Amino acid sequence: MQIPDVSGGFGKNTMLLDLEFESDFLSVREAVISARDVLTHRQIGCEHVTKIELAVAEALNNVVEHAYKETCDGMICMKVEQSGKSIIVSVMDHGLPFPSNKLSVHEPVPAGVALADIPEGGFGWYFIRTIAENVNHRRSKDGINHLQMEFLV
Amino acid sequence: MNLSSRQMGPAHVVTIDSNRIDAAVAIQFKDQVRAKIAPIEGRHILDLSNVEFVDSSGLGAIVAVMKMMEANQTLELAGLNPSVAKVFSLTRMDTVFVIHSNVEEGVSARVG
Repeated sequence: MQIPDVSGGFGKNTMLLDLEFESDFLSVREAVISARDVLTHRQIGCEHVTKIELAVAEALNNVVEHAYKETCDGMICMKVEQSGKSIIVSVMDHGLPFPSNKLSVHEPVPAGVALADIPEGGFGWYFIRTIAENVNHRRSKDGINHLQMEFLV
Repeated sequence: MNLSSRQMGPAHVVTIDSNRIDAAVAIQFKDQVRAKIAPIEGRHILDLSNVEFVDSSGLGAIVAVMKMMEANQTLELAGLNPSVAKVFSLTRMDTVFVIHSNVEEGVSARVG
């Protein structure tokens, strides 16, 4: 898959990881572990790595679940770059457009909520927004979703 | 997904022997834990001490197991690693579950 460079604004980045993989949950798991390992090897603190690992997993799972609707016939590209104290993770896919008006974003569970009303999912975007310093999403004219997350470490 | 279960005094302990509860295994996790818990009344403790990573899907699966409890059953958690505890605190699920620092403490805790 030809992916245009979307790292504009982060010109002097060090590329830590550049992956291309099939859209399924096991491939996502491997990609997430690769990202975690590369950050750990960069001597980035465990607490940061843990949080980035979670946000990356949520971003990639969203692609599998929503952009490709779990059809298993799409490719996902992920880049992990470092620029000083910033870690930039870019995720690209050829799937369905991002439903910007239909984001399922659950806030934390309110105190005293009944068990039956506790959501069983939908925390993914909440994690990403809570953990990442900046989140940027756009769809390019050639039908590629570009998600960029910046984390401070 | 690997898990094991055993009766420890007053509590039935289900230990997750895999280190990730993520989107790849969330449904499997739910079904397997339910199968272990369903036939047994009383207190159940889910031992997560081997688990290093839980994502939104994994968290949802744990909540789903909690919701399956019958009136004569309770579910508590034990042994959350810091990364897992973080997922619970970010969502305030730590206020929904009884969480013990480890299985031994959970088994000896007076609940209810």
